[in-house]
Amino acid sequence: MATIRTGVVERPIPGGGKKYFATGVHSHRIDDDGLIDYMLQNSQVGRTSAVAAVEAFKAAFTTFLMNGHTMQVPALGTFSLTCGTDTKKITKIAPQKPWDTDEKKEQAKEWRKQVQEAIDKINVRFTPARRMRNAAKSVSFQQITLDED
Amino acid sequence: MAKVLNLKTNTGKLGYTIYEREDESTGSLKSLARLVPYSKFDELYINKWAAQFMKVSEAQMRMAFNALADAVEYFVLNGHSVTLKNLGNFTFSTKSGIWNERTQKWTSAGKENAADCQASDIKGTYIRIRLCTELREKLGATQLYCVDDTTFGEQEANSQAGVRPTNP
Repeated sequence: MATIRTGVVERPIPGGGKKYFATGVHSHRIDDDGLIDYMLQNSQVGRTSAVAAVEAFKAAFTTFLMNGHTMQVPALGTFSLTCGTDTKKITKIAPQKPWDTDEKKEQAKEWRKQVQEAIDKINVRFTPARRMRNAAKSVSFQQITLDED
Repeated sequence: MAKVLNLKTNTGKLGYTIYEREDESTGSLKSLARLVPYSKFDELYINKWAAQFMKVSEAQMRMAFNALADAVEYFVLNGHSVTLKNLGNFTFSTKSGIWNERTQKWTSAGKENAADCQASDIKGTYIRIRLCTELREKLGATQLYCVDDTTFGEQEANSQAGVRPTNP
């Protein structure tokens, strides 16, 4: 079973103030080479295939995901794009439908323009494959004192 | 097989739709935008595409993707982050929370004193991906357009509302 070390962090909370939270602590950063080495040692794939999988994964990102498609990578999971909306920037409200008069059409145009300008933070949503999700559920945690690191 | 690579995926802009949701605190409606995926490429298609792109067999590519997923899972769920050059990094995140009777869900909640925080407070572990700066900037600069008045937008709205297309 996988084990993640945990520590305590102080974070701001909605409405002001701060509280303490138990959180996982990252240990090391693994790069492409580390990943490929692990693949070679723990599976039957050769170096050519291992490198091909990593490079194809990167290429699929720019070909599919970055162009607004959703893609399901074998064994890894599903990647899609999401966006956030800064609702504080939206002061206008949507006119009642149907938008059949020039006035309503103009109001709708203004409202849509504001919503588009309020779109921020385009992110990637990753939904891991079922096996990975189940593995994440069975992770155990080991408490450490952050000062010791 | 040739058809796989000939498909046009380069759209150059991202489509979004606008929806309204009630604000829990004020009770008023607020407008939100949601990106609409153009298409969903399943794992069979992606495997085929990747095999052709890297000039290896589909079976080899499938095995390699399995090994890649095993490696990412092993490192991330043991507390490491996996950084892929020119792409981004896979990390884990945790949620420490309390049971909310009203919503019947675990919700994020902190403690007043650091000494009260326990590893057992953590109720969820998630695997995330964060893109590198270059890709984030590229995404941020991508042109956006509202799909609501297009046929594509109508189809999306119908599918969200659970309306199936009628057979003529």
